[in-house]
This record gives sequence, C-alpha cells and structure tokens, in this order.
Amino acid sequence: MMKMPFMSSCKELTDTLAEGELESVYWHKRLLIRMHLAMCVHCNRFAGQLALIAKALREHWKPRARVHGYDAVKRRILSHLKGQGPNRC
Amino acid sequence: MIEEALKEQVYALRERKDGAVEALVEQYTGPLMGAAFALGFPETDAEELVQETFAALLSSISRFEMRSQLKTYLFGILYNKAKTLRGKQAREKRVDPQDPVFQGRFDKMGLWTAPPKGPEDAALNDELRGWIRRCSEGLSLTQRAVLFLKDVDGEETESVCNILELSHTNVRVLLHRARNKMRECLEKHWD
Repeated sequence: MMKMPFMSSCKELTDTLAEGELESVYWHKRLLIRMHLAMCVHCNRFAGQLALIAKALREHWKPRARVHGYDAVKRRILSHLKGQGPNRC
Repeated sequence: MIEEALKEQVYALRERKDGAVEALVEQYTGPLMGAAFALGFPETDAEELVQETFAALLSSISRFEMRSQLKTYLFGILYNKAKTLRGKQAREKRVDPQDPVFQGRFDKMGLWTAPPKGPEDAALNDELRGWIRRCSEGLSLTQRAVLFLKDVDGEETESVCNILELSHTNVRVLLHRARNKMRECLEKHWD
C-alpha cells in the first residue's frame, strides 16, 4: 500500500497496535487507522494476528482457574495464614 | 473518592473481623493463581507465590492507603515476589534482540518490505495452543506480566503502570516487544 497523506504509515500503525495505543488516540486518528486497515491487507493480517494471540493467551492462561475451582488451594492457603501467629490472622 | 466496599473490606481485614480473611482468599485466589501461571510458575510454585502474596498483604494492610483497588495492590505484591523468586536481577534490555527484526520489515517510508505471513485468523486447535505455550516461554517475566494484565485481564495501561511501577513509556515498549515476539515466534510455525 502506498503512503497516503495524513494516514499513518504501516510501521506507525503496527507500532500503535502493538503498543496497545489504539484506544488512546484521538477519534479522527482512530478513523484514519481503521481506513488504513480496510485498505492494507498486510496491516489487517498483523492486527488479526495480534487479536488471535490475545484470544489464545486468554484461553491458555485463564482456564485452569475455571477448571480447578481452587478449593483445595484456598483451604491450604487459609490454613497457612491462620497458623502464622497473632499478627497475621 | 474511596469506594465504600473497598473501605469496608480493608477495615475488616485490619481488624481481622470474622470471615474477612476467608473472603479475601475466596475472592482473589483464582485471579492470583491465573497471574502466577501467566508469569510462568508451575502449580506448586504458583500456590506458594499466592500464599506469600496474601501473607504480605495482611502484614502491610495497615499501611495500604486505598489509593488503588485491592486487586491492583495484590497483583503488585505478586509481581514483586515473582521477581524475587526468579532471582531476577537483570533489568529489561534497552534493545531487545527482536527489535531490529521487526524494524527490518519496513522501508524508510514505513511501508512493508517483509509483510507478515500466516493467517489473519485461525481456529484455536491443539497445535496452535501448543505453539502459543512454547512461544510465551520465550518472554521475560515483565513482558509476561504486561501481556497478562493487558490482553488477558483487560487492564487499562494506567493500571498496569501502577501495578508494575513502570512508566507509561516502559509499558508501551514492553507490550510492543511481547506482542511482536509472540507474533514472530508464531510466524515460524505458520511458515
């Protein structure tokens, strides 16, 4: 994609996305970014892959809590905290 | 303006009211264990880390000024304890080896010379999950912490700055590196 006036370059756009700054830019810049993504297949792929990685990490790093429930862990932790002495628990 | 619920919970913990500690453990064990896994700790180490985090909170609860949420404060303690457990003395590198790799994908005008390969989206099958796990092992502790807080927990950047005691610039750079490292690592699999 050619660099269009007023639009971010592909490098600037990928930096904005990777730094998590998309929601903090002014609305008109966000609009230009969305226009760029609509026209640039490479940047669109980059953005899609970042979203896929975030989705996969949410699955990878969070599900154990839901599966385990952590009842046994909580019991052990409480038992340890209560056994620490008068200043702890 | 401090929320009433936070004040009540903190005062109850300070006075060790009946059920206060139980409620704390019930509420935050899951999220803290999730964070400990994200930081790369296996289950037994994660449990020890979380236990120490609660103990540290209870020791310091009289000094907690309620300028942040309890969850933020707990995550900050967990992260610092994780650094100690890992014996992490080295600072994050000023230049990550991945930086020039990413810079090299663009020309002077900022246009792609080596565009990203691989799908724009993909089903989360076991193979991809395995690659995600392997690639995340290449991240530093702090990169993992930032990625977890932003992409998994959905925290605002300001909150991440407070939890990890980092500047806004540092968090942006860490997130940039973490996300790019993951993407570059996965691209090798998609190749």
